[in-house]
Amino acid sequence: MISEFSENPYPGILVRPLPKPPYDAATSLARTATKRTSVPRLSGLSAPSPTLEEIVYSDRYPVVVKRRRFRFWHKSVVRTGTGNVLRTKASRLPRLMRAWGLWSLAAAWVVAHGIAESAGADPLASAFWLNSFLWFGLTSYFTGAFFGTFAKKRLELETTAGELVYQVRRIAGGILTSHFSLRDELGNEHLRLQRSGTQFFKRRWKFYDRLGGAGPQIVERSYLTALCRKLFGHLWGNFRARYTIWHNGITVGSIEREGFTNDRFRIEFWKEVPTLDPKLVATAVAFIDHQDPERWHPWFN
Amino acid sequence: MLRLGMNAENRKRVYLSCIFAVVSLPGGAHASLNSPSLKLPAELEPTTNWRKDIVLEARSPYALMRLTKLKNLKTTADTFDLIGRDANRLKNLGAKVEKRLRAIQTDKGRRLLVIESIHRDKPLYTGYVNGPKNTYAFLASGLHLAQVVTAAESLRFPGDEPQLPTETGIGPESAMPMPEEMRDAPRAVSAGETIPEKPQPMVQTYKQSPWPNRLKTLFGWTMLLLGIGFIWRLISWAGSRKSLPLTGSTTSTAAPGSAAALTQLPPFKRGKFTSLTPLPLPKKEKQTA
Repeated sequence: MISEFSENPYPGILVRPLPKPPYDAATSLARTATKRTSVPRLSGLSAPSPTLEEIVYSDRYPVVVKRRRFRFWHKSVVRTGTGNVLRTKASRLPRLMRAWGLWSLAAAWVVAHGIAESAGADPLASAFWLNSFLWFGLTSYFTGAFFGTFAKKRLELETTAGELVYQVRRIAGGILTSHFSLRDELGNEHLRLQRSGTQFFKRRWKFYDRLGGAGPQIVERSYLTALCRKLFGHLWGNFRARYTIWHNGITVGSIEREGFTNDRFRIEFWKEVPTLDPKLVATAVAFIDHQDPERWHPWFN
Repeated sequence: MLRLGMNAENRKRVYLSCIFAVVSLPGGAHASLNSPSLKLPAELEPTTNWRKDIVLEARSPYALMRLTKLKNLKTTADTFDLIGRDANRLKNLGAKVEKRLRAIQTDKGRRLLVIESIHRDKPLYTGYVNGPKNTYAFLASGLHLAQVVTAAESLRFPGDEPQLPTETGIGPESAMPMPEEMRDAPRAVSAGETIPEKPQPMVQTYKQSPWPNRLKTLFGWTMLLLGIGFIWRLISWAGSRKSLPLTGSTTSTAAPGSAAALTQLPPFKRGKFTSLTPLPLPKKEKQTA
């Protein structure tokens, strides 16, 4: 590659190479380093030349995270800027159990009304259906609530071949504040996520490195959208959250929503955060979507 | 993919197709539901017309709802009437129907309504005495008939003459008299007003619950909101598409017939990475060394 680059007939210009998966950062770094030292800067009016991080991050971003809908598990597909396709998987069982419980209780309510309306109904059949719906509903709802509260939350990023790349585990949880840890397949911690507060006016997720140093924050753009979402649900995706990635006092990137119902995430950076792997960011975003999904109905988040 | 230029003609086509799709929805539904494949074959069609109400009750999905509504609208008078008719029907069948409701006139002219109930093979009575404005007040329960009548006789109403003191000293005389302003005296009859001879029927008018209407209203508003949200989302989504310049889309379109529209290459991405656009190449320098 380097020899190929030395044959570049246009020495004053950085030519963006075609992205070749898997992306090799060391090669790119070495190539650009030789470039910088060998070529003097043009005097006077010069075309804007991309810096190293712009090359690197434009290759790695945008990352698109797409939720796969109508699945039993919470699944999403991640497409990185280099063309790699990964997927995430997380359990949705407690949430589904709560939903089934509520639907079953609603059915029990309907059955009770039917019994009250028709005095000539068979008491045995009526009691059977009422008891079935009532007990399944209560059991399912409270089991789901219990496991949703006390079970460890976990999300995995894996390749299409099923090899684990990153995983998110909850390491500490309180009523309002929870800490999550992003680890690789060997269990080494790479990043920490903190969700704190009620997140009522704006959603805010904080990143910390493994030594506790403050990293970037994912902050929701509009408090108006957030409040409208509390009242009306996401309303066909109109009130879904869009985020700003904030680091060291400046805005370094954004997480936009795409698609007809705005259910896709598009992560873009225009300033370098050298410690952040895009796959880590994609995992964090998929996990945020898993933790705080927007809903059709009025809800707290 | 060949990208067609969106001129006025194509835009008109798009708009019209959208409008036709919306406008012809009911028509399409009607046509598809009336299609020959969905109709019954001629031999299965009923030859005689059914009565409309029977058809409604038997076939309509609203039949159950309608029956429920009728049931809810049934008044107390209807219930009494049904009971009476039921008694008549039983009598006609030869059954012995005992009257368990008696109206008794006391010596003082009070009307006493006594309801008989069987408690361990022993008839016990519950009494109601009529007061002003054709109301009946609960008097006593679980007594013999004579006790009920005695209780009604011993009652003292506001405006009655004072009774003789009882033996025990505890009775109406020893009770604290009701203040004059709190006494429930019959209203003075105004001029021109006629008092009906028969008492008015004690029919409780059915008071409809406000909640069904409230829920309907809430559902309607929700549907309206969802519709508005859908239209909003549709327009925003169409605007975010690069081929439909409904709202701000600046870089994607080219004039029809221009070189840019005829090339097979996609246009530059509308993005934030301006540094990624290819730069003009400088002149080639001679490599001397």
